Amino acid sequence: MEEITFEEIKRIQQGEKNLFDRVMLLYKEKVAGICFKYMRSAEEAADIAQEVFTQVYCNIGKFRFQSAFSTWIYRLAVNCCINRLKSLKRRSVINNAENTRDEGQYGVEKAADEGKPVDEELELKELKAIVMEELESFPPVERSLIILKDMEGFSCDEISAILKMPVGSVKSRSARTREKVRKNLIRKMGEKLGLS
Amino acid sequence: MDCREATDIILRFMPGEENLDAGVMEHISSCMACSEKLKAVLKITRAIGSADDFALPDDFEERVRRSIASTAEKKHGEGRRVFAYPLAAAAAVVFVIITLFNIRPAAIKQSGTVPAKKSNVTAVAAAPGRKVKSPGRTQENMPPRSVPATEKNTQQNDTVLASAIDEGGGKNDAVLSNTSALPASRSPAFQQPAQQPKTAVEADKRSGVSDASVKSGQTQEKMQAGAQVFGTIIHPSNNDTAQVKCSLTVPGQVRIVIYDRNGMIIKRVFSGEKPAGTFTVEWKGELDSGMTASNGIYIMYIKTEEFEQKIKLGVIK
Repeated sequence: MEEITFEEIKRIQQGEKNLFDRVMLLYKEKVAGICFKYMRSAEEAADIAQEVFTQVYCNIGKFRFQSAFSTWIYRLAVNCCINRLKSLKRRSVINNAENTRDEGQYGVEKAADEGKPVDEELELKELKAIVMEELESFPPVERSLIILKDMEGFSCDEISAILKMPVGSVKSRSARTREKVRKNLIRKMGEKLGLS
Repeated sequence: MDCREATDIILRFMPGEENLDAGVMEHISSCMACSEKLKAVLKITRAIGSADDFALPDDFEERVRRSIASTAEKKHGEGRRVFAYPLAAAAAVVFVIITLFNIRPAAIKQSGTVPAKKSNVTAVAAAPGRKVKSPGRTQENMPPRSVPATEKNTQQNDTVLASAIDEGGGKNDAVLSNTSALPASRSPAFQQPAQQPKTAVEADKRSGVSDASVKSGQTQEKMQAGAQVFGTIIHPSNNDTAQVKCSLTVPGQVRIVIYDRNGMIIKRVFSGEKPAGTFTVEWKGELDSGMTASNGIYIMYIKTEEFEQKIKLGVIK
């Protein structure tokens, strides 16, 4: 993925704010993806992404060039999502049932277009929804580990920088969390997953 | 290897990053249950790995720019507001100091007596039918609120009375009988709340109808699209609501949200499609989380396919 250079960031810090459009162009999709996985609502994710970029713009002067710029932005995104989830308290405020249904329908149509078996695609969609629901019961750090490592594909070093956590802890905690997720899902979904 | 050991390994197994060792594979080939568990783990891993992304709205960058502009405006505005009019700011500071410390050079000069103590003011103001005023708060720095006409009159009398006592020092009776004897430099400021609205627009403002409502109210007869807001100051404890009456000439998407001063959405009042015609939505000063909004200024942003409108609302608990 293309990264913005430190030279460009310095120019933004010195007042060349037009370059900020490039920051948005490069990072908006990834930031939106992270936000969506935390919030599970397209509208909410767009709002958080907007908040993230507003904070990036206002605080870009505080960037110290001690980490990759992307790491800094993703850390802001993760913090914003966790803060918003804390403030919402009850996830039922977000009406995500409607969103999930729409996405499921879209996924099935897409599968049919691509010639994949629709049953399999439906099952996968259902499983995805259950996984996301299960993740909601996890504490923010563990949820962040699964989202960043298993869903977004960040490396342990990157996650360590984003969450400000030692690399060893990232590895051990993500393995433990993954095991916990699987155990819970197998217990809950044994029949659906084909377990006797 | 037994099933328990094999299950532990399967649950920790990360496909794509590592391979299962020969012992586990051998057990799986002979154990149906463990084989199914491995299949289930693979399905779960696939479901996690292929989580959905979503497309940002087309106007996302524009929304970010707006949010940045409002945040920057707020930051600069706070500094400018004080320094843009230094004379006015200085005059306000002097006025507050004089009010707080009870300094009245004019009164001393005219009457030659010591200024009245605060206890005198309180004693008279606390008489039956009078409202007790806290010494530090004057009519000028009280927050605006709508009051019934009778209460307004009482307050007006109290204010004139208090100022008369202040000006007259110990000679209360003489001054009370002749409020016109107040110095011209002070009396208009105290009498200002009692002035009657001169125009219909001013009357509407006082009754809580915003400028936007007045403007769109003029065009309502022509059946043009617009929004009219009633009750710009909300007292959640009194179950006050801000009512938005929207008129659409064609059916379309309507989005009404409330922003705080940081540009963050704190409440989604309405989002959806509406037919042509008039409809009303309400905001009671609550947040998305169900809690009540804190005191302050909020912006109601109304976006339809025909118009966009921003209205300032105040919440006072």
